[in-house]
Amino acid sequence: MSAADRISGTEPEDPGGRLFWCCSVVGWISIGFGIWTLFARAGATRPAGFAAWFVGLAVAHDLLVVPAVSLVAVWLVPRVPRRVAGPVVGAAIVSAILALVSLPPLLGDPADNPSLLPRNYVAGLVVALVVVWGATATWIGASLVRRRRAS
Amino acid sequence: MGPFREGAFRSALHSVRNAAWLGIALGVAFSVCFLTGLLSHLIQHPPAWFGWPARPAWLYRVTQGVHVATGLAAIPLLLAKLWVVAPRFWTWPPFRSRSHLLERLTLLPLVGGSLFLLFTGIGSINRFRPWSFSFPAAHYAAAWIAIGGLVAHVGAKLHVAARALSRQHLPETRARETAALSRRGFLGAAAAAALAVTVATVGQTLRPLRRVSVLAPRDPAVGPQGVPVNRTARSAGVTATATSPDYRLTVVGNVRTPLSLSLAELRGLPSREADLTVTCVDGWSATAAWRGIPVRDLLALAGVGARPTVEVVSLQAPGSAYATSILDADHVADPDTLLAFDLNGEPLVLDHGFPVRLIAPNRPGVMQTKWVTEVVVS
Repeated sequence: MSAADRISGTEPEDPGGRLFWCCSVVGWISIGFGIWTLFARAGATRPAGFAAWFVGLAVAHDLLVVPAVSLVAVWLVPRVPRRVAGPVVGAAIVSAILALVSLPPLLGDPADNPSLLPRNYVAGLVVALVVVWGATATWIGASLVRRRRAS
Repeated sequence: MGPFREGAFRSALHSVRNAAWLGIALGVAFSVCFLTGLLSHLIQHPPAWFGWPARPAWLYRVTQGVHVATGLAAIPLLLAKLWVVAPRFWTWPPFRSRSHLLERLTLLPLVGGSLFLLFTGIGSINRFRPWSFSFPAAHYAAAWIAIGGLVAHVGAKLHVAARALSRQHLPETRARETAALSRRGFLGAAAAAALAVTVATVGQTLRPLRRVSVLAPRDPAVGPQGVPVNRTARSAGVTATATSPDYRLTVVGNVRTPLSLSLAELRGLPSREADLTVTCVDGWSATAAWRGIPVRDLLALAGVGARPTVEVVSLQAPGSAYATSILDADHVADPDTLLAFDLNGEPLVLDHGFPVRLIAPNRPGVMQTKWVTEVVVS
């Protein structure tokens, strides 16, 4: 496997060329406009709070989410039988995302508006997870049957 | 040592090929979100050069539905992409040259902006807003920052992605800690997660899927008179004034005959029924039958001949958000632009804008002003 196939390790070359510099100029003009907008409407955008969330989310991702997911992966993967590992880990990823996406409706505040967040989102998540793992079990079953027939 | 060690991340999941595929998907998703979001911004804050037509009536429903659905689907794609490139964050030394430093500096606006946009977006549509800023203003500023980061990043990485994807046969690596999932399996899981999130939420605007979308913040059939409500009369502070027997709808400004009509007088005028969609900026939409007086007929009664621009004023306190909205000439001229008093065959309930609300084709819900008391012709 060549170095270019890998993300880890050293990059073979530095960025450069006309495309890189043109895109950098255009990109930083857009970034500059966004920052200008941020301060031009400081009463609404609250630059300090904005910056805290902007940087905080990135830092939280790198220092909390990535290590946490790594730990779960290191714990989970050896415990899954190898023959079904692919679908099981895939279903675990889909489940984690669905759980994540169910958090905002669970934490949200509908205030005095009954048409806002009208569902039972815990039940909704459970149903979604049942569907995901049901489909995964069917997938595994079908592939095991296929493999047995082939051998 | 540690994560800085050469080859510390050996899983095939961290290959350039996966980064490229996910990068392409995210590049498309963020471009779609940026353009549809910018469009929504322009419609709500139109500069002089911008005009938004009343037809086709469904257009804003599609663009804003796509904006929210694409943003939601981008959540798993972004997390997958960050997972794939995570080893990159630990590159040592942090930069080798000026151009490499510039490329790495754009990662903060790109990654920070992307996470910020998706987090505030999904939070806002679910009324989970643990921040101090105004969502539309902050989301708008962050969009320019993130899209700028994206443009610069594409310029730096396009040739890397093209080279990675042009190889026909890449050896699947012997991966260590994540041997469970192949490189393709990981991409498949990310795509499946994006699909799952979409199915679980898109029913808030695609009515046939409303029962399937178990995590949607809205059900287009749930609400008073079968239509969801974005802001209640109580939270808008209009309960007393909207139900007062002294209520009048006035037509003033550049008119020959100023009008002042009670609700009964308004109901006595020739009315029109139209199937129109309320499309919320939050990404849900619901279509219903509305009956009311076409704005252009009301203006004709007031002796307005030309095609003017009109300000529609609510009973909400002046200066509060969405207390007024502007109807451009194209919307004023459309026969389906109504000052409505009936919804699905019944008088409007208070939360839908009793006694009279504006409802017009192809407009964001925040501009479908409720509890209308005054029409100002300019």
